[in-house]
Amino acid sequence: MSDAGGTDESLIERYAGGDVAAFDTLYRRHELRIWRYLMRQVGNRATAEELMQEVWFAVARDAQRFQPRARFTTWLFTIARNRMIDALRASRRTLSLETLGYESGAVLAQLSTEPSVGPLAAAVVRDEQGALAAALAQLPEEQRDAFLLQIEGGLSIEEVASVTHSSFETTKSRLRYARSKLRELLREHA
Amino acid sequence: MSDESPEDQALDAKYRRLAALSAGAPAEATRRAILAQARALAATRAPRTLRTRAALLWARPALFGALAAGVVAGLVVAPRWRPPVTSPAPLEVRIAPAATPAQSTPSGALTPEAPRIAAAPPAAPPLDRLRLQEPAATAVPAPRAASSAAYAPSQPATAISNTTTAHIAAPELPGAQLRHAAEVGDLAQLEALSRGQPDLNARDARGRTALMLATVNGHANAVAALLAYGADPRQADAQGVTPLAAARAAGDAEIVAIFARYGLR
Repeated sequence: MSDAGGTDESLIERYAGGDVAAFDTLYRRHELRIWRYLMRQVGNRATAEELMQEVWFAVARDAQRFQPRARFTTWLFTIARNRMIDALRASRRTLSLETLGYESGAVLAQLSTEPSVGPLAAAVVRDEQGALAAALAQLPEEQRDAFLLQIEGGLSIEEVASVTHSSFETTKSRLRYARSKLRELLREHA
Repeated sequence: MSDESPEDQALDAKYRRLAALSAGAPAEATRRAILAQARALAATRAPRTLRTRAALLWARPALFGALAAGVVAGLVVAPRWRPPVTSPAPLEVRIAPAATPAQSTPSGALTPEAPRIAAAPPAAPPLDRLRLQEPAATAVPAPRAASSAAYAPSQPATAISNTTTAHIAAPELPGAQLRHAAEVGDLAQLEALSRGQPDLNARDARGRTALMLATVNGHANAVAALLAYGADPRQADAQGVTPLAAARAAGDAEIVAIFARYGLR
């Protein structure tokens, strides 16, 4: 990814050399993508906050080890995924629809304070987001993981395959099934 | 994603629209903690780079100063070593060695011209005697004086890393000495300085205490010693980074554990 602040790869390189502003730019650029990935995977705000810190601490600590031949987002989401898996293993908790629904409701409730969204529109959006969160929670773990890595991380099928240690064809299948299932679930909701 | 069907694209678009409208974001405290850790880590990297640069900045003038002093020594001292009036063409002889780089060092001051002249009169004094006759001021090798000033060993690293604050980092100031001892992990010096030190939390220009410098340089024993002497672990630097945050950022579990013993978590 590139914009006026430079490419992700150049920013992490600059930060590795001590440029704090480069890290700020990088963090703000990817903050919400990582946040949504973690939130949708663990379904718990407190855990997601912890993981968010761990992921970015790891990025800051290992910045000097980043290999410029890899895309930064691939590296970033690999870290996020590994941390998320570790956390889930450690806590031995499993995702549940109830957990996701509860947390999503808490987050979505903030929409009512968004000035650009009226009460009716906010209710519709909240409903849609609740349905999306529920649909995501119903996906098999591997499918949800592949879908989120691709849509939040902007990773290609090859990159998702690399991050998840899966073959290209397996990843492609997971993505196809994930989208098909999501469409089906959202259609049912509508 | 190029082989996505229109249905897939519509689904992705819907996801992105809902994600963009979502107010979900990490807490401000999380954001602040992340950025503070990143700053702390950068702080542990930047000083080393600065130190290297500063060392180069010091080394170059010192090297050129030494060379210049050598040349001056050649110009001023070498002519005096020569026998008084034996040369029929004294002006030529005096100018020639000074202009020759090989004669810029004291040991080479009499070559190649001087031996030829000294050999002419049988009463010419030997080299050792000539050196003994030199005035005391010129007997001091100027290059060494110049280089020793440039590489003053007692100069703390903090002074080198921040050349704009020489007054703060001057080695004679107890605070600077303490920080230097902490930075290099010199426990004996730390103990000696801490006993008579009224302020263990004296800061450098970047707001770093001795405890912070010991932490970012990974000197766990120095951290433990400073805490035992009464240094305040809650003193953050100018960027708001505490020693504990810096230790965490560096992944230094040993120092984090030491802070934990003092109730910092």
